[in-house]
Amino acid sequence: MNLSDAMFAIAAGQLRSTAATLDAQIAQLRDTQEWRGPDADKFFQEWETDVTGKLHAAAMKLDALALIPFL
Amino acid sequence: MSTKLGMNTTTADSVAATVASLGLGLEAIDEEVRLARLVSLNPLDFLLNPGALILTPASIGIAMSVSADITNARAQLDYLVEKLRQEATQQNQVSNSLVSTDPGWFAPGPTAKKPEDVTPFDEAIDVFGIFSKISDYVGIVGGVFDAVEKWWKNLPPGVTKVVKAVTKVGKFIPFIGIGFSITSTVLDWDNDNVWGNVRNIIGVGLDAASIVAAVTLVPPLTPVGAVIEGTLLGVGLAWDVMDVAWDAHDDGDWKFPWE
Repeated sequence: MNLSDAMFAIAAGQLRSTAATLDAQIAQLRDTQEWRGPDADKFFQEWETDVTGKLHAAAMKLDALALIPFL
Repeated sequence: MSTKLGMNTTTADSVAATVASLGLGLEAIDEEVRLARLVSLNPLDFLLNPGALILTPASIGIAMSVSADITNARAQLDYLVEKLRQEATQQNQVSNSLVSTDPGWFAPGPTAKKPEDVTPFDEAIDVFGIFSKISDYVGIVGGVFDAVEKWWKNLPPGVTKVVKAVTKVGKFIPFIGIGFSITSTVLDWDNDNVWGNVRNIIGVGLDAASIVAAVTLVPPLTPVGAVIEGTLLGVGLAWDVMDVAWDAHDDGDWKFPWE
């Protein structure tokens, strides 16, 4: 495998895309209001914080990765 | 327990299917980052990935954090999907219960447990990948040895016979060579020519190395041993030629053009 900045950029893009898909999926569930109440609120909050939030954080960190250029 | 009954289980299944389809992508990204970290920290992994670039020291720490984030996100996804399905199942059972005595009213709530987050330090275990992957490397080396052994066994009997005969006689040659080297080093010893003495000692060292390397001539390692011994022989000969030329130069038999 040849590591490159481009590879990390692609991976970061994939993470953001994954997060967006997951967000859309859960937004759809929220919009239908099939499930409401404190449990539902907690579920949606955990989804945003622990899943999509972490994926966005990972993507940002991937953007910051740097390779040693002379090797 | 929710305030609204009747979340459709197909909704939960749909979310689960989406998550499952995305899981492989997340796993692949995690594997890429992990490999980048290993290649950057473990010389063996670097050698096994020709042409790989390595991360800067600061980025290695960031990569550990990325892996922790992805690992945690995946674990939380599994937990939340399980919780959603259990919730949907429970709501479905309750919704299908017409009277309060129906068993559906007593359906258990979600039992999924929230997983504990891993930290970047947990990912640091891979820093010691050189140790954790030792079994892999042993396996690779073992595979090479097996292949060599198989190759040796499949050689025509005539060839193996000749090789065995040659090695039987040939294994004494280094001992004869080192005897000559030691004798000439002692006889040529000159306190006024330290470099000359060092050259002779290096010659003895090369002969000694060829004796040690003779263990590799034992079948089925013979082909590998022949390469090692051949290399030592070539280096030894080149060294001897250089030594003789240097001696002649020191004796004034010849000079460099610029001298």
